Amino acid sequence: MNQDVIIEVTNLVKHFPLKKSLTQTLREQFFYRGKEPIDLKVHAVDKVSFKISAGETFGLVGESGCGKTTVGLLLLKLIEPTSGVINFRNEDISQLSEGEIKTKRKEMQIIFQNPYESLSPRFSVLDTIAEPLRLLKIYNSEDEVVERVKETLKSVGLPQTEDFLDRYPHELSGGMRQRVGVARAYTLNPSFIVADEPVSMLDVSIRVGVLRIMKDLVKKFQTAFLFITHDLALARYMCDRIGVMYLGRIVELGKTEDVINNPLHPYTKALISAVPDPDPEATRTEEIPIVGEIPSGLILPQGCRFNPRCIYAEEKCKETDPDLLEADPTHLVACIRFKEVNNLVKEGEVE
Amino acid sequence: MYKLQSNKTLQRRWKTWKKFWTVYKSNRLGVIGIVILVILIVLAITADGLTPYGPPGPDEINLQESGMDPRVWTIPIPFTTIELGPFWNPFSDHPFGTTELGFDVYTLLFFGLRVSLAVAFISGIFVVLLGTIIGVSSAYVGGKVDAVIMRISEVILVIPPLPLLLMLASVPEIGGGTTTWELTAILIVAIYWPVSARLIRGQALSLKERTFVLSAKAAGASTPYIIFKHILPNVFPLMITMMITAMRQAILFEAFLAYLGFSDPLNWSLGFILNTAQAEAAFTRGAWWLMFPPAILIALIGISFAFIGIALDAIVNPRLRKR
Amino acid sequence: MGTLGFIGKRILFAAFAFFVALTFVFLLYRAIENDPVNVFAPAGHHGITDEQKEVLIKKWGLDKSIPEQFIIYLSNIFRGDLGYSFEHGRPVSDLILERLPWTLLILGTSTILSTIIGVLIGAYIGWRRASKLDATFVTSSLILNATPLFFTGIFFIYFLGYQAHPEKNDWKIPYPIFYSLVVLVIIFILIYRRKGKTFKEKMQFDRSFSSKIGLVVLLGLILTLISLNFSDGDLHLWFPISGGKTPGIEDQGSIATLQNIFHHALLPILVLTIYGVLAYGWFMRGNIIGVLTEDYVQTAISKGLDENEVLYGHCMRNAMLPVVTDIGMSFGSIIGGSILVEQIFSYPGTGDLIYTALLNSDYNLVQGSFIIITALTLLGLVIAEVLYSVIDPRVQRS
Repeated sequence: MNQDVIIEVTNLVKHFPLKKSLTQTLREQFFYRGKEPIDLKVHAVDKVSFKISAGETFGLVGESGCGKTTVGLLLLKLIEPTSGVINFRNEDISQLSEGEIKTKRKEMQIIFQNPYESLSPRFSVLDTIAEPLRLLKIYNSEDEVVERVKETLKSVGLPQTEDFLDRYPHELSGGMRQRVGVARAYTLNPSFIVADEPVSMLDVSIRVGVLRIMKDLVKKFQTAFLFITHDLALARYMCDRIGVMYLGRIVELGKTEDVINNPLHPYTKALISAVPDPDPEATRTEEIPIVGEIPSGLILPQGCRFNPRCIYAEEKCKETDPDLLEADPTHLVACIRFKEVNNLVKEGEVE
Repeated sequence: MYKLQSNKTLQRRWKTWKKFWTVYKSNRLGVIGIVILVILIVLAITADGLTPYGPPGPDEINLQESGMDPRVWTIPIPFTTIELGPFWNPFSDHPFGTTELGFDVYTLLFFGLRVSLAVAFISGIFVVLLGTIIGVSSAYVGGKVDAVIMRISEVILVIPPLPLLLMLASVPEIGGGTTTWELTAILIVAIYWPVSARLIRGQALSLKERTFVLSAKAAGASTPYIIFKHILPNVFPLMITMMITAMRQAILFEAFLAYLGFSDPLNWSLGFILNTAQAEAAFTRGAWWLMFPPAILIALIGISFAFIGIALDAIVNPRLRKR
Repeated sequence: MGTLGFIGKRILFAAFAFFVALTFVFLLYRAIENDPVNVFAPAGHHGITDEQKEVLIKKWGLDKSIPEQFIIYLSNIFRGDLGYSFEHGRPVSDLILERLPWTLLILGTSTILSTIIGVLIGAYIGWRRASKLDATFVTSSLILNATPLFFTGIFFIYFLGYQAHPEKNDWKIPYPIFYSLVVLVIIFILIYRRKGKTFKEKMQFDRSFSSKIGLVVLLGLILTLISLNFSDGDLHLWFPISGGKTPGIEDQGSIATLQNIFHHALLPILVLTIYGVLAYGWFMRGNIIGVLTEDYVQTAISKGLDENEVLYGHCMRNAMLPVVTDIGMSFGSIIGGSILVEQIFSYPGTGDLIYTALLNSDYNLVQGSFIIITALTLLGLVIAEVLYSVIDPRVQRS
């Protein structure tokens, strides 16, 4: 792994304030005057920090609603962060305006989850893939654009015929559409790509094809790749490092093998133990249950976010909200009791 | 010049239209509607060549001058026999008879068709144009502007349309003037734009949230680009269906106003022929040729628009087809 | 809180819309004519004397500035004073109150009739969708929808109205024959709707079915007896084409008057009902088709429930909800339709009032009737929305 860091995020925060209704505003104005205003906001992303180097795939894993998609959109500045620093090639882009960010667009692209939604139904394959090229005026002549589109199509394993270029999304299969989506992201040859659950809407049988293409492209172009998924198996296949997210916060971060083989955070442990093992002979590891439902991002639990659902929670978990602690230099975990917890589990196994 | 779409755009658009037509052709109602409408439009355009008389107006047709006498005729309408006054009946030299004052109904029909269709088309087109501009910009600007526009349109929608239309149409008479057909069209647009604006706003709002718009934004697209390249092309089918609906409504609104007498006296519309029939008490006197032909024409225009609308609906919302 | 808040919001909106309409009417007549006296108290008009003119100018402040006039106008209207019609020589509110019962008679009857018939027909046709019956209904409603209402009215007048010589074409049927025909038709429909393929199978009467038929026959008999008691024993197939009743009919007793009013109202009601049935039927058909795809209906069908139980027990209730609001929503267009119907049949309702007022340039009356019509429409709208929000709380969110 080379040390060429493409993107580095420090303490990224995004809150979505809830819209106040008219009656609520009136009540605040007339009945609760002088008191603290009722200020409700969803803590979508809270103090998230990580970095991705060139040619590296970083996976964000978590349940739906944990804020992983928001992180992806924030990095591309498709939504404005509340606070935090996004260093892209050693330049803070978090405060750039709409116009200034436009110059960075050719450096960063996104692959969306739903290939049926992310391609405009009135754009042909050529227009879809060429749209970024034309918008950012990369080439001066139309021939060069078409040439470049064909080149990208080749690299994602799609035909480059005129007929194919003229097809519309509804004439393509799901797998083809997602490859068009990948091609569109790669046509600018960006140094950073966000893939937001790129295969979750695809049939299992065609997933591997799309994944392999992305993996090859990452290696070939040395792209920094942010792979967002809820599926640990996919993350294991794709990623060099993964971060596990829970309620807007990264709770564990480390090399893929480390995190999956030796999970330190109780949440990660529970996630991994919940993955079914297709091997009937395999001895089942101890099942670690998660108690209750995921709380809303509106009202966060006191102290550690996971404590109401954690079977190892103690009094002190309700008091401190832990930052990422170093278990070893490449493996970080946001749990104050991770050492005790792991010893407990090991003791349990011995018994 | 730098183009945002490839050279083949036109070619491809033509291909799309051809494909559209193939699908459209398979819908029997739609074809019937188009055929009726085209025939009516051709009749309206070629009206001057189809009749020996000019349009009704200051130089009105005078039967005495043309050397024909009005005849008294006993018509065999069901259950009764009535002696008819100075109306000319369809079996005379005038294929559709005349009004009491001697206007040739055959001539009136063609010119009436022209006026009615003109009102329908103009108001339909402007309802949709205005609706699209207001709807899309309201969806995109959002906030207070959006709220205000939506309130205004809601108020217009809840006020009973026909009394409102009547009151507005009567306005020129206060100053001693008369309604013109352009004014009728403007009034119809004024009371009908909220329907299209609200529908198109809804569509634009949902399109705005679609991922491909976000994807275009990630590729560096500006808001005008997104509106013209992504929102409008996707709103277009709705615009067309909306236009057909608006035209159908406009025909009925116009006929309503004209039947009650609020119409251009120099450009007789189909509804105004019916108004004449009412004023001359044609139907109690058995002069059916004054009411049935114009009414049937109005119904035909309405039906053709309805059929076309249904066919378009079936293409735009394929789910409806399955049901 | 939610429901109350929603209701409050809708009432506020209706009040706002009413205010906008008031302002609009006010400004409309002031914008086109600099001197409102020319509009509301024209000197040359035949119905108006100089003293009346002075009273009108004073009462409505027609010589004052526009904002002052507006305040006077609003306060007058909220006190229930809608102005003075110089054409009729009476206050506008009196005139409207006098005409309103006629409008309510034809509008109320036709709305109730068309809702009931439309919902039932629409439900049945939605259930039998894509059948020949459905196709017939769809085409005929398309054709009728494209036909202006007044043409249908004229059509009825031409074929069913008194012509120039009423004594010649007063077709009548004796009531006993008429009612036996109706009863026969109903019995035929009842048998046709029964299960079974052959006629023999359909004719296998059980007890409940026999009692159903007995009930219909009994009803026919009662109706015949009543009608024989009340009239000369004939049903007139020709209908009067103008007025709400024959002048001087009161002398012949109240039953004769009622019959006469009914006879006059029948054609207008018929025309309005036909359009109403098509509109509600069309609406209901769509709703039923939507409901039929829902899982709970599929469950009911697969449970092997009787067709009627599924349709009327499970589907109807949910499909009918939007119809409730639609009645309120379409109040405005129903009232608009009444203008036409009243004009065609020279029926003495408010629609006729506003129309003749326009023709006679009686703008006090136009203004007053418009305000009343708008108020009624908004009232209908609010009632429908409130009803709907109580029945189905989901609407509050949209």
